[in-house]
Amino acid sequence: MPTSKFTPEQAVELAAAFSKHQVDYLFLGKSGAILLGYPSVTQDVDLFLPTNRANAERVVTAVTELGFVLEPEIVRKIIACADFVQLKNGPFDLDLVHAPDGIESYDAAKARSVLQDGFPVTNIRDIIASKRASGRQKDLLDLHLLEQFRVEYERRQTRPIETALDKALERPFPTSPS
Amino acid sequence: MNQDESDDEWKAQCRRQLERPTLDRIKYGFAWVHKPVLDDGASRAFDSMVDYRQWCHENLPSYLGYRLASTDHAYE
Repeated sequence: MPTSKFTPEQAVELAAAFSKHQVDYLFLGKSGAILLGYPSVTQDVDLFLPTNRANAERVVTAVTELGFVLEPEIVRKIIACADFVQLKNGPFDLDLVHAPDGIESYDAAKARSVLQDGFPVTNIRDIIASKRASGRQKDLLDLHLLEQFRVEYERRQTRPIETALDKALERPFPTSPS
Repeated sequence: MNQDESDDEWKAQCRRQLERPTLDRIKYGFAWVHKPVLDDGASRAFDSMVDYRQWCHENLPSYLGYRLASTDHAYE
């Protein structure tokens, strides 16, 4: 059972291990929202995975490399792409989610995802949809705050409309013929 | 403080957090607190989310917030 929180160093190690083993994944849930800038606190890391046996086998390799001790039954469940696997025997709490509530498919979520400084993260709208669909008390309490965060987050992501002057200023300055 | 003032304060907090680097968000965004039952067992797996929600509903203390919010969703 881990007794320490998920640290920035572990986040970098996780991303490196998953990249090394070519694991397809997205941060999900409150942990994903925190990476996007949601000012809150959580305990566990939620990863959204495609229902793909080869990818699941790579997950097993990667999390073992990170220090998780996996019982044979848990390995079997991960490779079978069980909807929800909660890993407790490792350096931090890690939830592997193959079928989160409220998101139609991994591929659709991946297409809408963002890369936050090297960390692949589920779109904030999908995170909210998932929490809304869960029906859990703690998730519903977060919804109002998450929606307000989304507005601020998306406002920041929206690039101002480029004017003709902006575009002209980006062009290389014409040099005089010699 | 009324609701509008509270919302404005929260939005300002969001804007400040958005200014922080991602690794700082991780540094201050994760904390470990023992949760009874949830943290007491070994790793666990559920074939379906329905099974997981039902397990949470039936086994976790209500104050943890993992139970379903309305009886419309309850597994009872």
